[in-house]
Amino acid sequence: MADRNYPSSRINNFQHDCVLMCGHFSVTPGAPGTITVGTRFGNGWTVAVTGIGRYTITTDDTYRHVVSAGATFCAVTPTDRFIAAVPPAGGAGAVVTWEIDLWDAGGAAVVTPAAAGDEFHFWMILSNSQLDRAAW
Amino acid sequence: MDRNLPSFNIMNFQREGELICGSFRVFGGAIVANSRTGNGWTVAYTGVGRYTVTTDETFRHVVACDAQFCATTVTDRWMAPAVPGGGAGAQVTWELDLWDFSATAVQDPAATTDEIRFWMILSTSISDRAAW
Repeated sequence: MADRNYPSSRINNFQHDCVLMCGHFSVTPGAPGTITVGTRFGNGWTVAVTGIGRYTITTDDTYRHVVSAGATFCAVTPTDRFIAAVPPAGGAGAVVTWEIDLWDAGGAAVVTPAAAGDEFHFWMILSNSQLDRAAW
Repeated sequence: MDRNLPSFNIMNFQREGELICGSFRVFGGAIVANSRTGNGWTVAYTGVGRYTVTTDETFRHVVACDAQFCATTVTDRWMAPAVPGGGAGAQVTWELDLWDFSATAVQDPAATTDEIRFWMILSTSISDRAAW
């Protein structure tokens, strides 16, 4: 067992500390529906409805790489719908965009939420230094 | 962007958010004894396929959360969590439901070694902006 203290994520991942971008929002059901006013939590990003069941998050700032990302759908009523995310885009000195889609397993299609109170939660770990190694 | 943001309080809140995370196992209609990892929360079996995590302390907002089902055998079950409750100065409660695709219903795990893992980023300051 490691008994040393990793002081920050830079040791484990990158030259600089990574940035955690996270938040959540709700969507008013419809075709394609709208982002519900007053439901967006967290700073540093915006979100737009880009199709039925498709929501594109865009960071305010530019980044080098998306190290990791995840999203989950929190429903008022248990459901077989879950987040089917697209690979994040951008980076390399541009803003990051990430389309997260809501997949309906029973309907075998991308759909809008069933309830206005359903929530989309997401997080991204972003590197912000040109010195950071991209991949290997 | 090549500046170094020292922590995520810049991007999200007045103070650094608090990470609450952990894992537990469920079998036989109960939380498996000594299966809980992580501090700052408890979990209760609140129905078949429904497990409610409650934070020990009070918080302002749930900024983001995520949960994952780790099965011993590959399965078509996944976490279908409910909307977190509480906050605004109260403890946060979060019902984690395990959806079974074949059964089209929430179900308990198939094996005692299956694990449910979760995390929440919580804001701790009354100065934090709620939503917009």
